[in-house]
Amino acid sequence: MPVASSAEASRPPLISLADLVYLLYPVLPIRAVRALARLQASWFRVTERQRWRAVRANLAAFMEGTAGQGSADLLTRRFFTYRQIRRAFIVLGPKLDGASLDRFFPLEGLEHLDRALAAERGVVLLGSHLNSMCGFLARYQLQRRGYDARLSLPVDEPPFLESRVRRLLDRLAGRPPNAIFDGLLRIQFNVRPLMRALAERAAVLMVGDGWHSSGFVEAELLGRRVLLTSGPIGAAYAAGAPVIPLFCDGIPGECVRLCLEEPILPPPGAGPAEAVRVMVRDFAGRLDRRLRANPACWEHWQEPHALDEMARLSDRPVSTRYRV
Amino acid sequence: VVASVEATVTGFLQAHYPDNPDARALVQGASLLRSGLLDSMAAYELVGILERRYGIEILDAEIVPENFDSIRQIEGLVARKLGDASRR
Repeated sequence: MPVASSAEASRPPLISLADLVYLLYPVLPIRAVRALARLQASWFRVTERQRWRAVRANLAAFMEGTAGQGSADLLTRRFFTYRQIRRAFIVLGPKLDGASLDRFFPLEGLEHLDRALAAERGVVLLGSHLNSMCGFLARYQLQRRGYDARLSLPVDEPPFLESRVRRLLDRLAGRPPNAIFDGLLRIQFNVRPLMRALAERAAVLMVGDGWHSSGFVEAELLGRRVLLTSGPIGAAYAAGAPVIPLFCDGIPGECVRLCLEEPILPPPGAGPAEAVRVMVRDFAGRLDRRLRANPACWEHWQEPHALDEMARLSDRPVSTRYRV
Repeated sequence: VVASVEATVTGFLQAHYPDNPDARALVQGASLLRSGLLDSMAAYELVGILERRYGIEILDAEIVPENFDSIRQIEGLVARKLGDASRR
């Protein structure tokens, strides 16, 4: 999940453009948020030129041989537009009522979670960087239905801290500051908080395509050999907890379906290492299908040469491997 | 204690990776994380072993790569925790 560094996050800005959206919603309709996001995307073409090029190069490489250059431009513009809409929803999250959550982030496949929790264990809900920020809203959707859903992040402090102006607005409205990050589990290298949460039968939202990990498994993704973290699946396997993929699939601002899938099961008779390998590759296959259907919404595209980097994650020195 | 920690860590890793030559030829300063010998799950198990064997409590904030990347760093952590305990 792309997040601000702890140092950056500990200095909230005085005010941000998102405050305007926060202040005016729901008077400001979502179509206006979408229009604003499109404007911002055009602006980023100038102000975030390097990132724009990185995204475009990644998308052009992904589409090589299947589409023209115009398609790469279009998808790049959509990438930045959708990114801004996702960020707007993070800001709006605490203000969204149940009907709005169901409209913009409908939950599908809850029966998989119910069946898993009936076994009296916790569950790892394995998400990805496909619309990853919508995972924050998935936690809301689960909590309002009575599930003990917890969010894990690899950083000490919440990313995207509210501006000081928004904190003031929250205080006036009687909302806690940074409510969307309440109860955040800090899980990076140290998996003990995850094991505790699973022992308490919580549903823990994690991502299976994160880059900050100590263990990786080789897998096929978008026609390339890449490394995917073994952490969430390895921990779930050790805890005897089921792994249920949770993909945020769709167009931000229109409808992002929060899709809970059939659990990823260990192969019968396999030892722990082989079981984790097979399960990670199962997740990779499912992620691959989702990404191909929704290529403009994978947040990793903003990293230069994203798939090449994902093939070399284990080469990163330990001093930087965990730095977010 | 230092020799004992080294034996504990090497014994743990060799039991985990009986066929891995890196686990058999561990040297004190070698990076356990880069070699892939110690991932977060192995660290979780190792922390439990160290806590039980030395009667120490390793805090969540201390379970960081900087304390677990080599046998020497793990020895340093255990020695600090034992020193803290003896001062109390």
